[in-house]
Amino acid sequence: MNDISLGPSPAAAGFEIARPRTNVLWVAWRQQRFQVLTSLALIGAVALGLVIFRLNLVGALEGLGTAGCVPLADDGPCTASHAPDIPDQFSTIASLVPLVMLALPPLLGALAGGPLFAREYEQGTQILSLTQSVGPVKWWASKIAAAGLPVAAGLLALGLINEWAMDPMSSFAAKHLLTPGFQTRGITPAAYFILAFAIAVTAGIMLRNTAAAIGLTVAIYVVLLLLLGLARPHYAMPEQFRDSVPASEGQPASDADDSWQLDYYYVNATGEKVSPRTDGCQAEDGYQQCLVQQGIVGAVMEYQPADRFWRFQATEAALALAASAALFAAGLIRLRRHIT
Amino acid sequence: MNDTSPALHASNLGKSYRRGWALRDCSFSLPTGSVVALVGPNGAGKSTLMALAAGIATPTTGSIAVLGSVAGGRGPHPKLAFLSQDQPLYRRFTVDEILHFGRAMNGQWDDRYARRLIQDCGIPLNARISTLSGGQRTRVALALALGRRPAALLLDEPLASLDPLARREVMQTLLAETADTGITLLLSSHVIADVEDSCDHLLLLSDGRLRLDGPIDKLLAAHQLLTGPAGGLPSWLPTGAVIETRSAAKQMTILTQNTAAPKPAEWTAVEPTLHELVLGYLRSTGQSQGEMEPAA
Repeated sequence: MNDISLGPSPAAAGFEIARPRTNVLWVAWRQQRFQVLTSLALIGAVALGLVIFRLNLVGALEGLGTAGCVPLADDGPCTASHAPDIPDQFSTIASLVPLVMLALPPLLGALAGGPLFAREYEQGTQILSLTQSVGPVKWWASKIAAAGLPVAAGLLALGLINEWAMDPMSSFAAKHLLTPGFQTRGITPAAYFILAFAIAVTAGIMLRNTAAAIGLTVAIYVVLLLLLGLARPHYAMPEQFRDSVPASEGQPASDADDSWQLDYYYVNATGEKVSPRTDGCQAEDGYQQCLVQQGIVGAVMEYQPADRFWRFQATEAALALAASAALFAAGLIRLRRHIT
Repeated sequence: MNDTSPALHASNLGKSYRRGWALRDCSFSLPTGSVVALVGPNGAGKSTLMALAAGIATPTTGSIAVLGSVAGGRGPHPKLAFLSQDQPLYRRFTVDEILHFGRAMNGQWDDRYARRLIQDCGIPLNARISTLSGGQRTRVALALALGRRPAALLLDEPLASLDPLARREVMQTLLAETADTGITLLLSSHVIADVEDSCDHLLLLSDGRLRLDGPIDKLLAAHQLLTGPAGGLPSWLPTGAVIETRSAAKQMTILTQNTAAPKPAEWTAVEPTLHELVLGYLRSTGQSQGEMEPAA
């Protein structure tokens, strides 16, 4: 690794391989504990609110004579016709929860990751830590583990609690695969936190400035989430629901009410997509007849069934984690190259 | 590791940044146990040399070996401790936690010794770093460095931010703790008075180049300060030996290397002080006097 011919009897830098037993995690925890405990307290408060929400909601449903109707079914005594009976305050809260759940991961990620290394560079303390016996990789990994893992675990629990707490609402509130339900329930909040955290950590290493790192994190996070949103419909081949034209009913009805409808179009006899024109239609013919005159024989709805929720969650989390890993690696390379 | 290796050995060492060369063609060898003054004006390359020796910067040319092992920019040799300029410490840590930091971050750590160093100067263990004075902070940083029981200790401007009383105390502690342990001490300063009484070896840097290197007594003995009548360089003096000349109204002073040339009676020769030697070399390389302070 070096031109050892220049040195006097050099031992080929052998000291770099054997690292002594150290306890870097203690140091990292001592530095990050306030931020970690504050984040966990915030997560705990939201979780407690969600548990209380669920218990009260179930109680209210029992009072309305829909006991055991969690979740509500499409038939039997617990049909969706109970929807108007859900008290307003639950609907209001259920519409506010996604805002909190959308904001928490990037907020906690940027605040945990931005200062993690940037503050060291700002105060020159990275030189103190990196001139002890501990190597840069171990120091970097320990800081990331201490600052990131507890909060990621907390948000994983919170996402699952939110999934459970909102379940009685699922027939009325946001559908599983749709925004914002998909992004705020299950494992996505934890994955989004890791993504924001990785952006912030690496931005802090690159920029060496806490405020700039946090600002850049927000910008990059928004862009990456928009990209994930564009990719999400393609996580699996959509199901197709076909109906003939003219149909007995006006519109083809999907068998899954809470599915994610992606596309709806008409086809002709050879199966090609047809854009229906309405300018040549006579009012007395009816819309269906007008379509038939244009050669349209069927209508197709493309959709992602609601039971793909966990599969889509896993795909989304895997993509976010892959991006995070690439970001972390870029930061580590930079950190090792430029210590001073 | 080789016991006969010099503490530090630089070969053709150079470091360039985007703005240019911070250090060039630097070759020297420091014997173990020496107390070395690394002297030069601000911006001479002292901190760069320290960073290369501490393994937190990678040389552009050449190499530097610490105790026989080439430093590779991946952190310091395990037997080398480094205190960077301004001695950054974690300000929210207590003194006790800084000592815990030393134990947690190092395989080799003498906790009893580090605690004694803290207690000797009366710093409370439960005090936060941010509440300490500059002198106390330097003491804590020194205890952290010495607690590793290093074989070589690099201190970058350790006294720069201290008042004169604290300078003297810190220097006394440092010399007392290193005298009988055989630690090689490399101490940088832009103030000659800080180091002239305590060091036995000199590295003089200016403008990124090494100007002087050697044991201080030998360097002084190898030079003379001539005083005689004004009026141009005397013809009896071999011009190659002249380092620097200064003329006043009636007399001139010349710093030269020792020469065998017979000296006329109107000229007197004395051995220069370290201060005169350093300033002479710095003036001869075009460094202004103001940048190098002879005393605090």
